[in-house]
Amino acid sequence: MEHVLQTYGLTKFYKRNCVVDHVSMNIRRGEIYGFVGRNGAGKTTVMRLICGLIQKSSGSYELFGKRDDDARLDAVRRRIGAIIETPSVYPDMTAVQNLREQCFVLGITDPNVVPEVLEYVGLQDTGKKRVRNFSLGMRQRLGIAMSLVGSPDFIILDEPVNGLDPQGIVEIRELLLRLNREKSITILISSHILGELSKLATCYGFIEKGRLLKEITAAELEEACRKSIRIQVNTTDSLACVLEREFSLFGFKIISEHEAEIYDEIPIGKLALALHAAGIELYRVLEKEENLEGYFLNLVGGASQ
Amino acid sequence: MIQLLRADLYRGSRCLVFYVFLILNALLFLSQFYNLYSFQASGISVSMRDLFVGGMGGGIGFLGIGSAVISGVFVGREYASGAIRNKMIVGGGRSRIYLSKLIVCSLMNSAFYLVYPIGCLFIGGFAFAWGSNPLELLFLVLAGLFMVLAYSAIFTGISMFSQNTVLNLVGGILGVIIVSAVANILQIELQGAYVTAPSDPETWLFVPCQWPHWVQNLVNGFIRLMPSGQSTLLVDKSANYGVLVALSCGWIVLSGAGGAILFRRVDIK
Repeated sequence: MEHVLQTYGLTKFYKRNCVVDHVSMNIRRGEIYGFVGRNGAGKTTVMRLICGLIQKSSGSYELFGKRDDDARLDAVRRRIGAIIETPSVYPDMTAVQNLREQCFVLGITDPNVVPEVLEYVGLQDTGKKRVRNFSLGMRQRLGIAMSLVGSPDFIILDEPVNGLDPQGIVEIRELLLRLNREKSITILISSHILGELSKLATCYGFIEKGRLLKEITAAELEEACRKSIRIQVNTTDSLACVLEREFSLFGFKIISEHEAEIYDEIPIGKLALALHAAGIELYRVLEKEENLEGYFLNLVGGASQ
Repeated sequence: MIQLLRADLYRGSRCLVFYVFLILNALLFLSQFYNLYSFQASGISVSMRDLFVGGMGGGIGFLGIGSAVISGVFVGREYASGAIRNKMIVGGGRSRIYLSKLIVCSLMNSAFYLVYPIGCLFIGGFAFAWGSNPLELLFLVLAGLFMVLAYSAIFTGISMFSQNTVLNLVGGILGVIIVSAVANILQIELQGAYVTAPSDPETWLFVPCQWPHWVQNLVNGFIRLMPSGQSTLLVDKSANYGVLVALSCGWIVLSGAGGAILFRRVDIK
């Protein structure tokens, strides 16, 4: 699948402080890439580097196959829209005036673009109301509208639901899902609200202290977070036979010589008896159920140790 | 570039502070016109040159303060709103963004300045004599225009790099006031002074500037180089307009070429 963005060892130093440390990430066309990390982990700095707002210290990146030192990169950037930190809008102008200015920047002369984009984000009735009088949610939607003016293929959103009320969060989520499904826009989104991110993202990147710890697809994450029972036994040699024959169970994974994970429902008492009958000693049974938050904390905990 | 210019012009046409300074300069013209008209009515000889030089902002550096505020607010808002990020993200190009700002700030500051000479042209001509050399007035207005363009070049550069409206305004206004004051004091020192003779307190003697020649040249160069210094010189009939215009062009080239190149390496907040 074609990559929209690939970074190769992207690094950024502020004086001697390394804020982005050899980040190599891959975003494929059509994905919603959830960028997960604590405050100050380096999410925004990576986004700013990709957007060309700050200079990299080392490494490189490719946008739509064009390297960052390619003279044609500016032309490729026209296919991007972004909200970094706060929506970039003039508070003393109306929504229409803000969008018209962005149309001038992009050289768009079609007069229908502004009303179409406003309608898409649900701001068609703001009239002469200045942006400074908009609610936070309206500003976010206007910010997204600004990034949609040039019909981008790739949108970068830094904490777009920060500070929004629950209804605002749902509205933004639905808008982003619509953009991804209807317009096939690839989205890179960072958020602290991991529960919300898990409803959107099809792929995740976990960043901590400037280092990208892991990239994982939503399916892989789901697999990793599946409700399971982890058992510790003296040997797993004949464990598979017991599970398949006695319980007709195939949803399990032998992890090591002494550990296995069972994903399907199983009565623990019967399992213990069956294992005993087969000469397997059961030492320990652990029930495991994780979500994105738990997965992230485990990963970060592991990283900080 | 044209697209960025159109966008900046669109926003510039909605810049309230620009219109405020336009009106202030128009009011300055009207008050100067009224003063000179009153002098003429009371028998004092007044020419169009007297009216024109009133618009050069001599002494207080009014044109400099206006340029600092217009450029500082116009560029500063771009940073405060974060809108400059939009232009970079969509591949506007840093040099082009810088040059677009420079051109639009120059246009706004020129319009702010030209309100006064245009007023002189349309209203002053009916009240006062044109004097011996109308062409000299044209050069005066041109030198003033280039002085304002030099101000624009300096303040656009400062605003683009400082990325902070308050810093732009405070730095710009204080800078103009301080440089104007220094230029005025230095010019007075260079002109020399009349002092009473030690032997006869009734007798006044002219004592020329006692500074070494090279220091005088250096100070003269400084006054001509700084736009705030130029505004004090333009009042003087003996000012060499060609040199002043050339020095102003130096600022414009320095900001246009140097600023645009340096801006490529700046991290945007």
